[in-house]
Amino acid sequence: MSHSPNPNDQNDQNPDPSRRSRSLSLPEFFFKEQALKHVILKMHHHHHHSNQSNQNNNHNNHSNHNRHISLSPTPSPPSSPEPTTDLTALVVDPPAPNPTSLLSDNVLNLIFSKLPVSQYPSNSLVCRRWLYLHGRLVQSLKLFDWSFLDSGRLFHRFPNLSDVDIVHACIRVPRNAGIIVTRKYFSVHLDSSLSRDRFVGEEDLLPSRVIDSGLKSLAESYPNLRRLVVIGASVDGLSSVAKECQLLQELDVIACGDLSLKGISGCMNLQIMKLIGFVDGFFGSVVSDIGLTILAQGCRRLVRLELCGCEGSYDGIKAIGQCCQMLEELTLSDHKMDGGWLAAVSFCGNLKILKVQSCKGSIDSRPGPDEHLGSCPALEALHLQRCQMRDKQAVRALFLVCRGVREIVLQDCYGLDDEVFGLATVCRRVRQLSLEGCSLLTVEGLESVILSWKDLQRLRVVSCNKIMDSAVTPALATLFSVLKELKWSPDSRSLLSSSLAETDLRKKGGRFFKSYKG
Amino acid sequence: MSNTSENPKPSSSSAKMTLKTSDNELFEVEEAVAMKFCTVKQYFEDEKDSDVAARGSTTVIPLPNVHSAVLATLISYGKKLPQSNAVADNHEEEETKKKERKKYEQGLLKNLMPGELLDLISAANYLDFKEGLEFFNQALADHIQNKSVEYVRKFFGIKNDYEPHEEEKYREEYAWAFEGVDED
Repeated sequence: MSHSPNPNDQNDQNPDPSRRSRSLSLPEFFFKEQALKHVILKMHHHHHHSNQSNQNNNHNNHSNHNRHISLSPTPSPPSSPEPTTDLTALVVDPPAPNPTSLLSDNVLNLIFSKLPVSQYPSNSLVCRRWLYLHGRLVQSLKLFDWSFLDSGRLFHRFPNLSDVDIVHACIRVPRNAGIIVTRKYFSVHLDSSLSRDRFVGEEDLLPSRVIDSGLKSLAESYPNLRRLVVIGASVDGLSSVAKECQLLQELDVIACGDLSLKGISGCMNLQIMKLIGFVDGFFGSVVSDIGLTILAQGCRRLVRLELCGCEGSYDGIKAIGQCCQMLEELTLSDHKMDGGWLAAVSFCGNLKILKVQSCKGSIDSRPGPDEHLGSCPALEALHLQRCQMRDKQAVRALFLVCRGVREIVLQDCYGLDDEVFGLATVCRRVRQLSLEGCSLLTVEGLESVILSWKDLQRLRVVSCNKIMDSAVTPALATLFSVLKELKWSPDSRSLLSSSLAETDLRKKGGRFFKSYKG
Repeated sequence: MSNTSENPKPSSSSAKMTLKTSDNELFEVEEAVAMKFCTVKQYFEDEKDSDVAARGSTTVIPLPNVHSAVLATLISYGKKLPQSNAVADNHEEEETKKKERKKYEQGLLKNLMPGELLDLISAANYLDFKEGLEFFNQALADHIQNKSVEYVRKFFGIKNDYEPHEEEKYREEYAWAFEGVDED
C-alpha cells in the first residue's frame, strides 16, 4: 500500500467538481479515490457474482454493515476517524477500514521501531495488519514451546529472525513450572517433581533426531541467521545449520559432545562461540581435545571463544592457537582440562584477553617447567573470577604465561594471600589493577607488588577486608596521589556502617531493643 | 495568498516557490524551506532539466495529495528547523533557538487530534520531508507507547478484525511459546 503518486499526473484523476462542495481532508480524499475504483469494480462484480465473495476475504471486518453502494461521502468533521467506516464497507480487498491504512508499511514500521519490544505483543493484537508488520520487525527470539517451531508457526509469524535461542524449547518441562533454577550461566524452569539426582537429565531433553530436524527447518527458513543457541543437537542438525546459514557469526552449543562439532566445521564465518560441555547437576556431555581440534580446524575465523565445563589438554589448546589466528578472547569457565594446558596458550598469537572463571581445582595441575611455558605475545588483560589460587605453582605459571599483560582483574578469588599475590611481580607492564573480594590480602602484600609496577596508572580495591586504611604507608600514599584513577574502598564493613549511620538505623534499633527488654 | 511568484533563482536564498494544494490553495514558500520537501526538490530539479522555454514561466508545483491545513503546519515546522544555508551561530544563540524550537514543538503537539497527526505523517511521507516525518513519527510513538490494545484501537479507530478464538490463540502464544528479546 505504498503510495507516492507522481505530482505531475494526478490532476486528471480528480473527482467530479460538483462533489467538491467542501474541502476534503486527506483520509476522505484517499478513500474517495479508492472507493471510487472499488465501487466500479464491485458494480461489475454484482452483475456476475453474489455478495458471498466478500465473506472469503479475511481482512474484512465481520460486523454486519449494510453494504449498500454509496457514492457520497458521509458528512462529518475531517479530523475524526469515524466517517471512513461506512464508505469502506464496500471495499472488497485490503486496506482494512481505518485511517492508518493510509500510511504505507514503511511508515508504520518507522513508528513501530520507536516503540519498545515489550509492547510488540499488545500491538500485534490490535489488528491483523499490525500483527503482520510486527512479525516482520522481530529479529531476535527465545523459543519456549517446541510445537511452535514444529508446526511451522514460528517461521510464518516471524520471517525475519536473525537471532534464535531454542534451548528452553528442547527441555521438556510442564507449562506452568513455577521454579527457576539458575546454575552459573544457565537457567531453566522446573516443576517440583524432582525424583532424580539431577535437575535436568538426558531424559528431559528432546531426542537429538527431533532437535536435528527442527534445526534443519530452522536453518532453511532463516538463511540470514546471525546467532543461534542450541542444545542437544548432533552432526546432522549442526551441519544443516552450517550449510544454510552462511552468515552465522555467533553460536552457543550446549551439551552436544565432541563428534557433533564436526557439523560446525562448515561455519566459515563464525566469530563468537560458546561451548558448554558439562554443567554439574545438568548435562554431562564431553568436550575433549577431539572436539576442540575439530572446532579449531573448522572455524578458523573465531574471535571469541568460551569453553565451559570442557575437558581437553595442551593439544586441544594448541590446535586452537595454531588454527584460529584471529582469536582475541579466550574464556575458560569451570574447566576440566588436564594439567599442562597453560603452556599451549602461548600459541595464541593474537590473544588479547584471557579469562579464567569458577575454577575450583587448581588452575593447572601440572604446568611444567618454566622454559616450556612461553608467554602469550599480544596479551593485554588477565581476568580471574571465583578461582582457587592456593596452588602456587599453577598461579606462578599463569603469571609467567601472561607476563606482558597491562590489566589484571582479580575478583572473588580465594586462597589469594600475600605470598601468592607476590607472584604477580613477574608481570612488569601492568597499568591497571582491580582487586575485589580478595579477603586474605594485606596492605604489605599489595604494597610489595604495586610499588614494583612502574607503569601502574589505575587501581581499584574493593571489599578486601584485611586491607586496613590505617596500614597504608607513606610510600603507598605517594603512589596513590600520582595515579590517574583510584578507587579505594577495601573495608566493606566500614562501607556498610557508614551508610547505616546516615540512615540513623543503628540508633533506632538500640532504642527498640531497650524498650522490648523492659 | 498571492498566486504568482517570480522566477525562482536557485542561487539566491530569498527565492520563493509556489505550492498548490489539493484544495487549490496557493502557498508561497522560501526556496530553502521548500527544498526540505524532497519531492518538491525533485520536481523542481526535473523542471530545471527540461527545456529553457518552460523555465521562463512561473513554476507552481501541484501537491494534489496534501490539504492546505496540513501543508501550512508542515511549512511552519520546516521554517523552524535550522536552515542549511544559515550562518553558523555562536553557542548561546544556538541554545536559545533550540529552546524556542522545543516550545514550538510542544505547542504544536498539544492541540493535535489523532486524525490530524496521521494526516501530517502521511503528507510528510508523500513530500519526503525527512525531519517532519521523523518528528511526527516520534510524537505518535511517544503517545502510544505502553498503551493497551484497546486504547490503541480507539485512538486510531482501528476495528478488531480477529476472530475471538484467533485472538485467544495469539495471546496464548505470546504468553507461552516464545519471548522477544530487547536489543541491548
